[in-house]
Amino acid sequence: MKGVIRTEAALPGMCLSEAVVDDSGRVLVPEGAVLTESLIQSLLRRGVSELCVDQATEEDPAEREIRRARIVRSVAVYFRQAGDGVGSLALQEAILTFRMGRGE
Amino acid sequence: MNKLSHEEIVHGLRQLPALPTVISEVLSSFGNDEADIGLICRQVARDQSLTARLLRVANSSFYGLQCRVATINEAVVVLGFRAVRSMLLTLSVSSAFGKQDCPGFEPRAYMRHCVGVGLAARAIAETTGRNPDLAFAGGVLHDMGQLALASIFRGAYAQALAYRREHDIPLLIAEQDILGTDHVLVGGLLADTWNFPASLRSAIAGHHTPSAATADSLADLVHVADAIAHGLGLAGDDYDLVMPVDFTAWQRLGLDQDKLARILPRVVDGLDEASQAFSA
Repeated sequence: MKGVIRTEAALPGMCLSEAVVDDSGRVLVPEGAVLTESLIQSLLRRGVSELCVDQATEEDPAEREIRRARIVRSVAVYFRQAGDGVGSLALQEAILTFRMGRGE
Repeated sequence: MNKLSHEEIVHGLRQLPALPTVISEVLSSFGNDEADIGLICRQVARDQSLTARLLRVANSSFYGLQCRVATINEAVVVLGFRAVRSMLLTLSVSSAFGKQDCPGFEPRAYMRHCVGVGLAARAIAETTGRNPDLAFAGGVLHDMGQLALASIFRGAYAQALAYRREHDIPLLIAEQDILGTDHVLVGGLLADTWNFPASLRSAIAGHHTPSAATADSLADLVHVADAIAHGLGLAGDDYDLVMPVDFTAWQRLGLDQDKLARILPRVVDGLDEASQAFSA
């Protein structure tokens, strides 16, 4: 089942049913691409407000929250003694975003 | 237990096997732009084991070559002398220690962490305009003091490892509490014993105190690469943890979220292949 959703509501694992194009018609992300956390963030930064997705591949929101919480806990364990310095916080954020994007 | 004295450590390091003769030539080439590369290649070619391992790494997907290289000369032509030199050094050091049997010391986890630091250091170097081959070698070798301690002071080091697990503290602190020394100090002494160039010595002896090193040293780079590898849990060790990232090192490297987003996949995606290639 295909549908149009707001980009903010997109979830990693969803599959694009139509390519994302910019104002001049150039393809930014091809049809069939599977969304990742970083790709969604990148599209939001570019001002892409809506996406056409295959709803069948949508991850269950509850499962997504469980997965997200597991990754947050795992990263926090590795950073348990890293303190709150600017480098430690930035690195923790980057690793969290990276692992969310990979879904692992 | 009694703490290790400086004399005991220096004496122990002298008992370690010497690096292959050709590695002395490789090491002296770091400060010599006119090093005889042909001579080094001929010497390496006489060491069949080293040559075989070098070609295995050179032909692995780690370097992504389009065609296979069959001799060390071809490797130098295709990859460049700097890359081959770093490869020779990391391969020689990892095999110099032989098989580890210190209780609590996991050689595979050690190697995965060190190769991960090497990959992260290489990626940071490319992002910040530094020498990626030197950064990779510095990253892979940065914890060689741990290998030395586990080899020479097996029983005492096993106590330090157990103490670390019991108290959930950084390894560096556990080493200092139990041994009165740490892998940074021992690694620096070993770098001196083996006549390492200053750039690599700073990566080994300064990676936990990078702000004390000069801005152009490898210490900043390896310090942050070490934090990346621990933060990703590459060693697969439940007791892994990130120590506070040094402010000066972080500022000097100028990393941000966009740069880190480009660096992290390169570390994770290259790890399995590189670990396998660099394992003895």
